[in-house]
Amino acid sequence: MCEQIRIVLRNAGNINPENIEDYLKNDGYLALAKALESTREEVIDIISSSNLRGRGGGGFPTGLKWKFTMQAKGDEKYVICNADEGDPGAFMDRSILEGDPHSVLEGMTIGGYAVGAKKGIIYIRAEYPLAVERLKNAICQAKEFGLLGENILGTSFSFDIEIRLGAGAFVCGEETALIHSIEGSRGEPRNKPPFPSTSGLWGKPTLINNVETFANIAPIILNGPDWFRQYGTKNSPGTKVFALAGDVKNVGLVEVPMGTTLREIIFDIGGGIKGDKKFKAVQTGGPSGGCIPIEYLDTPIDYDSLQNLGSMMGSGGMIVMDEDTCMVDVAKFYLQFTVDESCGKCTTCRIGNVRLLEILEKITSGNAHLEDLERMISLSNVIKNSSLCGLGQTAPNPVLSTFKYFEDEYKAHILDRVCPAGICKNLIRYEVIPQNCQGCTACARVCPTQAISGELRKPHFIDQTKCIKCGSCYSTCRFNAIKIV
Amino acid sequence: MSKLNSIDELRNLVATLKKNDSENKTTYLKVALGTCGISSGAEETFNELLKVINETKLENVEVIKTGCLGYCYAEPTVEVNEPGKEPILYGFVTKSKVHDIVYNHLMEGKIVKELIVHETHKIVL
Repeated sequence: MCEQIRIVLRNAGNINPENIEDYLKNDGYLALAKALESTREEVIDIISSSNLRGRGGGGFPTGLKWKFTMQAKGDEKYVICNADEGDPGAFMDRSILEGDPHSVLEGMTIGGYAVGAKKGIIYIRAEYPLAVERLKNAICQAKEFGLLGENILGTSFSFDIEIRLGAGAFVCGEETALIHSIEGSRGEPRNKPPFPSTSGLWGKPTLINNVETFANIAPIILNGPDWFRQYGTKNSPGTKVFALAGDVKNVGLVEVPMGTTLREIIFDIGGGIKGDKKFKAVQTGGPSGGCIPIEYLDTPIDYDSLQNLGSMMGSGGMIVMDEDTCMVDVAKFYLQFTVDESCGKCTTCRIGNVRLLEILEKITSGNAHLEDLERMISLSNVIKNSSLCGLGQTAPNPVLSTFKYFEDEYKAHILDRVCPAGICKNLIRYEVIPQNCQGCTACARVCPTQAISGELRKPHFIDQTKCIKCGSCYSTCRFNAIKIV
Repeated sequence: MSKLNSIDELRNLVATLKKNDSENKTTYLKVALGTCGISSGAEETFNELLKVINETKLENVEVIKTGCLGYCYAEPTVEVNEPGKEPILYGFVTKSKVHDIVYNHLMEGKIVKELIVHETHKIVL
C-alpha cells in the first residue's frame, strides 16, 4: 500500500493557521534563523544542491533561479510569490495558504535574504478570500514577533511582505503577465529574455516562485539537501502535492514522493473510481496538460515522464475520468477554457484556438469529415509553435493528447456519427425499453419539454422531436427502462 | 508579545513552546476549516462541538480550527488528539454526529468506528 509522504503539507490540518505559536512550536522560523546565521551564498548552495525544481509547473531549478537573481545587479530587488492558482480542479496552493500560511512567509523571507531583496509580494487571486484573510493575519503576527519588518531578529536584514489581489485572469499565472498586473498594466505576457531574475517588477531583479516551492524551503534549510534528495527521483527530488478530483472516490489533497505511479495515487490513495466504474484517463497539468490513458498508469511520475506522455506536471491538478467520459468533449471543455482566458496578444492563440474549438464542435455535433482531423492537428501545431507564452504554447495539448490516445473515439464521432460514451447530445438518443418500463410516470413528470407520454402502468414513449436530451428521465428512472442509443 | 530581538530569543521561545506542549494534558479536537471543510458545514460542526463540550463540562478539552488535512471527500473532518495517544480522524462529522463523538469517544473512551477515516499519510519532519 502506497503512503503519502508529507513535507509541504506538514502542518496543514495539524496546526491552527491563525496562531503563530502553533507554527513556532513545530520548528517554525528556525530555518529563517539558520539562514540568517549563514551567508547568502551558503543558503543558495543548500537550495541548489537539494535539486528542488519549481512546483508551479515548469520545473525550473529553484537554486539556479535564486542564484541568477542574487547575481543580478540592481539597487532594489523583489520576491514574488505566485499564488494565482487557476487550473480547473486544482486547489493545492489554496490549501497550503489556508492551512499553513507561515510556511510560505518563511520561505519567501529566506528567499529575500538570499537574493538581497527587501520587499516581497504575494499575488493571490481574489477568489480565495479565506486564504487572503489568513495570510493577512499571519503577516501581522509575523511583524509583531519581529519575524518580518525592519531588522529581523535583531540582524541587519529587513524584509516586508504585502498582498496583491488578482482579478482571476488565468494568464496572470504566467510570470511576466503577473508582473504586468502588479504594475497596474494589462495582464499580458512579454517576450523572454530578459527573465524576471534580471528584469522583473518595475524593471528590477525579481525572484518569482510558486506557493508550493516556497513551502519547501524551510524544511530543506533545516534538514539539509541530502535529506530532501532521499525523497523522489534523481532528477525530480522531493514530493509533489496533487489535487485529486473528478471520478475518484477519495477526492482531496495528496502529497507523494516524485516517482510514485499514477496507479498508486488513484487506486491506493484515491481509493479507485467512484461507483466502481472503469478507469478511462487522468488529466494532469490543467488546460496546458493532457490526458493519460490506462496503458500508462504504471509510469512513475515526475516532470520529465509526464512531458514524454504529452502531458505535463503543471501545478498539480489531477482529474480522474471514468468510462462514461467522452474524450472529445473533455478536449472541448479545456479548449473552451483557454479560448475564454487567452489574453489576445498573439493571433495564433486568440484566433487559432477559436477555430480549433469550432472544429471540435463540428466533431461533437456529428458534422465533421475526416479532413477536419488533419486540419485540427496542423492548426494545433501552429498554435503551439507560434504563441508567445505558455498559455498558447500548451493550449492544444488536451486536443493532441486525447487524439493521440483516443483516435478511435474521434473517428467514431465522424465516421459512425456516434459518441461512444453517450455524452455528445447531437449524437445520442434517449429511448424507453418497453419490457422494463413499469409506467410509473416518473420520467414524464420530470421531463422539462413534455416529450414523454404514456398511460399509467403502461410503457411510455419519448417523442424525439421534442426531446432536448437533458438526461432527466435517464437519471430519474428506477427500473433501468431508459437507454442511451 | 514583544518583538524578538535576536535569533537566540526565537530559539528560546520555540523551546519553551515545545516544552509546554509536551507537558500539556489537553485533548485537542481539530476541525478542518479550509474552504472545502467550511463548504461542507464544518463551521456548524465546530460550533456544535463547542456547545456540546460546554454542556458536558469536560475539562482539558479544547476545540481548535485548522486548515484542510487533505481528506476533502470526508469533510467535515474532526481529529481527536488525546495526549499520549495516536490521533483519530473522523470523517463526515456533520452537526448531528458531534454528540456521538463527544459522548462515546471523549466521555466513555469508545471509538466511533463507523466514522473513522483511513489515513494514508505520514509526516516526515
